Amino acid sequence: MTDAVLAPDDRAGLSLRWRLARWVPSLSLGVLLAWMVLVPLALVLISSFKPTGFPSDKGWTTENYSDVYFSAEFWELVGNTVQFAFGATIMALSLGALIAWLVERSDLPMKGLVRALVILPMATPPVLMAIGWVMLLSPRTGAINDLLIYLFNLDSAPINIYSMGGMIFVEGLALVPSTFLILSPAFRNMDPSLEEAAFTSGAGLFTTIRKIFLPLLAPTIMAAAVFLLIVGFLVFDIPGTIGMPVGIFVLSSQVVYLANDAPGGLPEYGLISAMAIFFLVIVLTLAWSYQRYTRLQGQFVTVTGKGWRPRSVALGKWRWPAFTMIAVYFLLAVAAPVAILIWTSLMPYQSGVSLDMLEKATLANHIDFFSNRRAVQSSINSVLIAIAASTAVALLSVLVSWVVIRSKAPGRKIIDALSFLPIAIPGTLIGVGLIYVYLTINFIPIYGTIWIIMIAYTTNYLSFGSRATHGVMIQLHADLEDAAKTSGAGWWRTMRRIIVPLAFPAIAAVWIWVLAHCMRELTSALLLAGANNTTLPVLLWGYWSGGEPNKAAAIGVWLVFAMLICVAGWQIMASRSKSSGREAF
Amino acid sequence: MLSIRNLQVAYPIQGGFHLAVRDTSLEVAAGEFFTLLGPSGCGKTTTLRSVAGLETPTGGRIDIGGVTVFDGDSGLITPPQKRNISMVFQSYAVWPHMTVAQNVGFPLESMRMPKSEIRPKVLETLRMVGLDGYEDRPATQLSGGQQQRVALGRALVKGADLLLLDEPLSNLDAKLREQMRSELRTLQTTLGQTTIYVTHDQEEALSLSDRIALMDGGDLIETGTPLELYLRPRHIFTARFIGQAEFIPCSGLTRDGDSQRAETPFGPMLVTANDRDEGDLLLVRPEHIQFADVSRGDAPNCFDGQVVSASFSGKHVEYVVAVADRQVAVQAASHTINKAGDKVRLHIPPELLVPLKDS
Repeated sequence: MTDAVLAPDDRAGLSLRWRLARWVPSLSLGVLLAWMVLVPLALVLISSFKPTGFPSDKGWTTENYSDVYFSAEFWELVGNTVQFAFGATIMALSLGALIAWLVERSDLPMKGLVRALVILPMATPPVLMAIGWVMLLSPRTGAINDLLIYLFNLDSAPINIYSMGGMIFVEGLALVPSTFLILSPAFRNMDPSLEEAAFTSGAGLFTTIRKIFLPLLAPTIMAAAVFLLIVGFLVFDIPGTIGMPVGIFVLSSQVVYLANDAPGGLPEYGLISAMAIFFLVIVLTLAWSYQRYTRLQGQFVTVTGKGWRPRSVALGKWRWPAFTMIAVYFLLAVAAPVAILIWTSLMPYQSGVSLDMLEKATLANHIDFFSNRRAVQSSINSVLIAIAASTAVALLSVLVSWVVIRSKAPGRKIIDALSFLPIAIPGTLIGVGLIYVYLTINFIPIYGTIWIIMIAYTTNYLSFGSRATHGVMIQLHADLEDAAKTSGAGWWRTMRRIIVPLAFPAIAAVWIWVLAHCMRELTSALLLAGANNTTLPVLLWGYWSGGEPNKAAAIGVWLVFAMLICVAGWQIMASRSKSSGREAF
Repeated sequence: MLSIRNLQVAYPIQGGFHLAVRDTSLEVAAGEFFTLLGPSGCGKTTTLRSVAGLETPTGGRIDIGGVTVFDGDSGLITPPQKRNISMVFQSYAVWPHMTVAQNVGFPLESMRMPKSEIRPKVLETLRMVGLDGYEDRPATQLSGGQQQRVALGRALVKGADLLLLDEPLSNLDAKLREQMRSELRTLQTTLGQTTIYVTHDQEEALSLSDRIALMDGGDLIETGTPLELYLRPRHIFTARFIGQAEFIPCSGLTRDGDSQRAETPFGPMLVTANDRDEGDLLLVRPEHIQFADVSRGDAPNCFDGQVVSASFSGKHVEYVVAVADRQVAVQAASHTINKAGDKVRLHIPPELLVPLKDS
């Protein structure tokens, strides 16, 4: 190939209409995304330089920054956050990768069941998992502690959940399903001939995994690790539930604390914004490296028009131990916390687990949940917000991915960056940013309604959604779309008949993932909550932190129930679509 | 049928533009089987994709069936779905979520043909490509060769004026490839569809095409029938790329009536049946060089040599013969019996020598 380099004199001839038309997709999406993402961020930045911490107020100051960054307390906070994020990432990644490999690439028994159940922990919101584990391992009334004291005749509780270790343990458990969902498509779609080539070259199972499997998947695994780290940095529910009561703060719980329970009584918006900027810098760095790894990942186009059946590795005597390990995971992540929640929801007051207490069991908390108007309203709010946000995310994600990966529209890199940026914006920051936006711009009267929360969620989960649809769009060979065009199909028909059906499992997965996460999201909802837009998790949090764990548990039980219905409904939907050759997660 | 004028396709790269295709013009007549041949990166696929509308050229003009579909000067661009074309991709691009019939029927569906008319048309097309009975199979349950047939059926079903084939056979195994090649040619002859075929395989190009355009590095090198390109190439690249070639340096090419004479390291050589007056190399194909009777006297273009090596490969024997300090490849039928070391006399037929410029 000769490398002829020529001056760019060519495109000048193309008509204005054509050149403008090329800009339509990226421009319209770009404006929408900029409004959703950049405007709140800009207002946060402005407010960090305001004495009152409110963007429309007069005057400028750098005091917020000096207050935050010159305090030793802040750096201790950063240390805690780093420890927490890395701990949870290491735990979730090793467990999640192992399960994903076992399910996709080995002859693990009851794979279908495991695959169906692995998303189950998503049905237990992290805040509930945390509450459950507090109930199990609290040094005063924790059920497991009580049991251990009884069994081994101990003087005091052997395990204290109110610790960094406790927080990492629960967060790690909570992140395994996300890890699995990121890794398993990559494991499944890897051309088995690459492994077979290694086997036939005389390499054993472990050599093949080490030399072929892992290096090929390194970009995906690194991408997953960075994604988990980001979540670890941002997450509030678990550190909020476990750490906050005993004064172990991370950045996110500190922000919520300053917003809702600041010593002065008024939210410290100036400090919050200054702190949020630190957040932003750290997470943007991580997000940038995530972007790099996913780009590397794109170099392995793995699905072509040809099909193959993945081969399985025989586990031999390790089959049942492997299965037992997965069973133990489900026990810890779902069964145990949910069981204790159910138990607590049936109790009149907080207590340990014992036969004596069984006599006092009552349905009062559940009856209260269904007869209490606030509880009913919160449930309706949660469902409406979740459906609206997940639908919006699914639609936007497909459009964004198509523009970024497939179209040759100019400015598509900016669209990509804008759709990914929200991953670097914690729920706390989105919450605060949207408060600024919709209090400042009062001709869009959505402050204090469910729609402001819906916007927060759509923004927040767009990065996940668009990454997932990106992955599929990369894996769909461009010829599949080109073949539709040369068959005479226009843009709309190509989208409807080819792209969307082929990407359907991913789109459905995005929809359900966002739905489930909206139903359980606490942080933004807590910051944006007013009298009329309380969601279920906010109500639950109110009861929990207000010292009514039994009422909180009752809500939790029904929340888990609702999420189970979502997840089950989705499983049925996904298995129906299998008949046309699609594979659900 | 297809007319490409001054086509230019440039990609922005660091520091300017990379020209994937530069200033390429060609005309394809209705019903012709026309092949774009060249090594990878030569611009053949880019040219084809520009005709399909999948690539936006930076200059030039493309007409299909008298309708301009791209004009760099006026900025006219017709999107692929509005061009009267159909295309087969190297990767087959059979849609995995559809059945065979749905795949093949898709172009008709896009034309908004009523469902009741689609089905019989699809079945007829499937019969044509040898897939009767497969209509309700999911596309994923087909072998590579069958997927290739689905892709072909999908391209044939709407009877577009122009059929574009992008290396359609390169993913098939050798035997299947040969079979599909002859079926493809039969189909094309029967249907009379103008076909543009892209391949890097010269044998495929020679056996299928009415005419071939040879490309290299974004340039169109030479266009001609397979025979012309093989026997009377105008460029040394053509001679090298298509078939095996022996080049004999020559000087002082002078015309003497119908024939020409030239000085070569072997001695003076006679060239006949040639209309070119310039050249510093003489091309001869190894299978055209003959073993002559050693006792034959001073017949023109006969030279003494010695066999350096002989290797038998079934159909023929490949010899390397040393003549006047040079080595020449000679290919002869398998019944010739010369061993390494044998003294031989070579005859280079004057009518099969082609003077070329070494550039």
